[in-house]
Amino acid sequence: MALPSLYVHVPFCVVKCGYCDFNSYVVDDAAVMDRFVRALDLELAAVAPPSVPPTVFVGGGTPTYLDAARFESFLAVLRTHVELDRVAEVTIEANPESLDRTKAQLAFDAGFRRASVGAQSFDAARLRFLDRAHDAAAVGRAVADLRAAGFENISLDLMFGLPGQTVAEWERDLETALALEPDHLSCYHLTFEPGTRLTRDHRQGRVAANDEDEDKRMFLRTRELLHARGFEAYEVSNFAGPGGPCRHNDHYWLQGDYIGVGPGASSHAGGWRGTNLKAVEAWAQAVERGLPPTGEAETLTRRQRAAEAVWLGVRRTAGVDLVAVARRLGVDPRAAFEGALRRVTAAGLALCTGDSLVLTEEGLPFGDAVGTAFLEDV
Amino acid sequence: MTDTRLIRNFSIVAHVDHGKSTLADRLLELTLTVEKRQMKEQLLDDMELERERGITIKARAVAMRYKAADGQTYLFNLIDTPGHVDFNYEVQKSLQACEGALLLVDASQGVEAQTVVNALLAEQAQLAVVPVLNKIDLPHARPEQVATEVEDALCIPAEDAIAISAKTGVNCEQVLEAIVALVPPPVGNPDNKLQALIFDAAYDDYRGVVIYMRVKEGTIRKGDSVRTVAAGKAYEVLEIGRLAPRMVAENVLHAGEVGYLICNIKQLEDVKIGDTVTHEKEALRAPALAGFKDPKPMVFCGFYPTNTADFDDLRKSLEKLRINDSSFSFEPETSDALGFGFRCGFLGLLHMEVIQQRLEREQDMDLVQTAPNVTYRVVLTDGTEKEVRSPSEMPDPARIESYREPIVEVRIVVPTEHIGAVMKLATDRRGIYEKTDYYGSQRVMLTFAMPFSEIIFDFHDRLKSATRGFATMDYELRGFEDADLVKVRILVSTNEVDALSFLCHRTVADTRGRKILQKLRTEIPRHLFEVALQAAVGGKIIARENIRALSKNVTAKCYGGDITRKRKLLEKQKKGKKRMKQVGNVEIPQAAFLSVLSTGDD
Ligand SMILES: Nc1nc2c(ncn2[C@@H]2O[C@H](COP(=O)(O)OP(=O)(O)OP(=O)(O)O)[C@@H](O)[C@H]2O)c(=O)[nH]1
Ligand SMILES: C[S@@+](CC[C@H](N)C(=O)[O-])C[C@H]1O[C@@H](n2cnc3c(N)ncnc32)[C@H](O)[C@@H]1O
Ligand code: SF4
Ligand SMILES: [Mg+2]
Repeated sequence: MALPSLYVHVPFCVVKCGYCDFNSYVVDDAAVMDRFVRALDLELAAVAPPSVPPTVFVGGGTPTYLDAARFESFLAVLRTHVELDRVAEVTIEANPESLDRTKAQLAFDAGFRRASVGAQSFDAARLRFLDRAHDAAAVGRAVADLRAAGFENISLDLMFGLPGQTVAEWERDLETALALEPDHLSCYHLTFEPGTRLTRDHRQGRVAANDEDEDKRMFLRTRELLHARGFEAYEVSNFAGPGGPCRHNDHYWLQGDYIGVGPGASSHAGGWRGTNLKAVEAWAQAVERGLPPTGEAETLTRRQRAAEAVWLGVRRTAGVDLVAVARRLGVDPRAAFEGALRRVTAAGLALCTGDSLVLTEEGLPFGDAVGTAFLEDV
Repeated sequence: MTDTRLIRNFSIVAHVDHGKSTLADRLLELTLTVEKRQMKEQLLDDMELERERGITIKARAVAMRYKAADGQTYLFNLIDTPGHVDFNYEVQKSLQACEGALLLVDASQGVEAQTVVNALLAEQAQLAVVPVLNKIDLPHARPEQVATEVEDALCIPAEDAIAISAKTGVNCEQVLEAIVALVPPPVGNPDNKLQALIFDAAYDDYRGVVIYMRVKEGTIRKGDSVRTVAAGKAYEVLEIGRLAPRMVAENVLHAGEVGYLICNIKQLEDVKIGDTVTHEKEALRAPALAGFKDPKPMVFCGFYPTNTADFDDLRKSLEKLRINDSSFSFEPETSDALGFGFRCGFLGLLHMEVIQQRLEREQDMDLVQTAPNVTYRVVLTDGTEKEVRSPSEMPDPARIESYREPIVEVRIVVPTEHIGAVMKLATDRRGIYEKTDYYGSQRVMLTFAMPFSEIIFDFHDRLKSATRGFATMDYELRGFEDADLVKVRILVSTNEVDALSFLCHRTVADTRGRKILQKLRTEIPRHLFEVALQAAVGGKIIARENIRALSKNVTAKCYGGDITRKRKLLEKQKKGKKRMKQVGNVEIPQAAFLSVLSTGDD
């Protein structure tokens, strides 16, 4: 069996962005952060991840929100449980408003080699609309600090489909991002996530959704433009430049196993998927008492896993290797989901090439429709 | 035995909420029938739904003894009746058992539509009508003016009307004396052959059917062999007695008395309301008394179990309710969209609502209720007439010569300043104005002939809002008239959806058709292609809407922590899909049918 990857969640932010449904809280109580670092140590000890997992990803929230001293002790805790220097891919999310030269160096020295910077946009008004705590220039500074510290694999997160945004405007954002010479790009279509301020504003008519057709054009244009600049779309929203794909995220879409630690972090182990308690307090209390801090969990049947494998798998440009799925799960999607397979191929959304099911050009924007055809058939 | 001269049988009739049940409470107290500590408001409204809604649905009989000013003790049989138009039938039955009626009028509201109707019913039954003005404790009560209204509207002398407050009890004693003085004692001879009128019946889980009867002639004893004349069934009298208000057994009931009868009848269907009980012995048999016309359902709607597996439970629940309410009907029906259910008939909209709530409440059923419709008739080319209660029953158009629709006489009582608004609303709904009656100088009753279908379509709500709540209305079926009806077909991507077709008057086909399409448009999820929605009459498209094709449908960010939640989201949509109906290549969710077919907000 392949070893599980490791995900570490840091649930603090300077502000709660209106669109964001990640498990994060605006906290400036030093005691809470200290408790978080201590509890994380306990949780890591309890779950005992492999000392050299295939990948490690530290995300949030905002890992760089911790002040330099705490950031250092946080990194030290990680290092007591995992041999970061020997891990093939070690990523940290860095926010422009809180990353500085010192933290960049601390991360690099701790063994981090990949950094993902949340840029989102380079337009001042757009950044304000998104509640971002930084300006466009801060993104450049963050990239420079990371480079100076030694990072050779830097990714930028961007969002498109913002209300009123046009293809032309989005192209300018992409160009600005490319000018920073990133090694990887994530370009996310803005999603109205349930429970967020943005979604509430949208429902109550204060924020209009962008024109759908324009959004679709931006989605397709992104792939075209980035391809021309040497970035390959290897997933719906992810583009590999010189740094190659993000192996950690790729692992998710391939249904790999992972251990998640920290409040609200998810883990997956052969069809079992659990999510930690979300509130820092509840999570910490459980961990401190030596209890598993799992809040919710589900166990999928093999058939469900096979359907999910297709749904997640078609997100990847390479498609989903149906034979590999059959071998891994003992359920052959070609037989088990014959009807769904027929429907999506007949509709021209996907096609079988060799052992794989791949989205067609027309099917690209409809990955979920393809996935649902399988999930529906469980 | 009680001397018939000392018996008084009477009902309380009034418009909704004018205080009948509250007055009944006071009379029960004053006659010491119910001890003060057992008293609760509207004691006779003992059904859960009655208590919750504060209305009377079933009539209730209760016996009381009253020691009058003349020193004699009288036996009073009071029947509390519902005020709402849908339950007129209950009132009618009750009046047959009485010699008098207290006509109660709220002195702050004045004469309302149901006041008029119920007073007329009492007069038709040749009862002594005793006007009583209630709620004089209210600061805006205007008893003198309302007395004039009673005289104008009902031609009942009202200068001596008793002004009371059923709430505080003021002058209620006088009501008891008025009953003694003004309601005649029953006629009827205890020595004659037995004739007892069955005016109601209820089912009791332990004792079977309990018959409520008024002994008109003769005497009935425990142990007698009796028969029901029309049904022709023989029984032994197991128990008779009075309702006080609980059942109190007696050995004998004489001509003039009201009471109950238990004789081992298993199902309510075996008892016909309006039938006569007489003795079984050939020589003692008497002929039937004049009975009642069976109430005819006027409004229809479909009830479907939300969960198709509950069909049998729904049938059982309906049967159970019918046991105590023979005035609603049901028969199985299938709908393309909703599966198996029942088409049910009701006396009116409130009746429909009451049954629906009793099903959900008392029987714990989860229901889908389709929008109500009326019975239409089609005249076929061979000259015969056919009743159509749902669009699915429509014969082949080629065989249809013409349509007929039910017309009701609508009476609306309203303060004069709202006449204009009522006129406009009624004529907008194809009402034909007939006449105005003035009650005093402030209030009028307007009469219209109007298609019944227009009334069940939110007319009452509109009337209330057009008159700031002041109008009250009442309607009565007058007959069927020729009508220019059309069948509106709903097409989804050129395929007809049977379940959504409906009948309506030609003039409203466009607006109703468009309304349905607009609802569908918001309920049918977007597809990968554009979906055209059309409403058509014959071959002509009268309304059109489009559902845009989906432009993009893929989760943007899908991290490890997102997988479960996002998959569940898709699965939820898929669950909705299980209840989707495929029409051509379009999937229509159950919810879309519901929003179109069910009652509720437009
Ligand atoms: N102020 C005042 N309120 C009264 C009086 N009599 C009845 N009410 C109130 O009027 C409302 C209706 O009374 P009910 O006795 O239920 O009226 P009802 O005529 O039996 O109503 P239905 O059976 O539904 O037709 C209740 O809220 C009573 O409390 C009265 O004399 N004065
Ligand atoms: C873990 S999150 C946030 C990381 C980091 N705290 C930040 O804000 O830069 C990773 C990325 O998901 C994207 N994202 C978050 N919410 C989103 C939404 N509602 N719609 C689309 N993308 C979203 C943003 O681009 C964000 O940078
Ligand atoms: S987007 Fe990033 S910074 Fe904003 S609230 Fe979410 S996790 Fe925090
Ligand atoms: Mg009542």
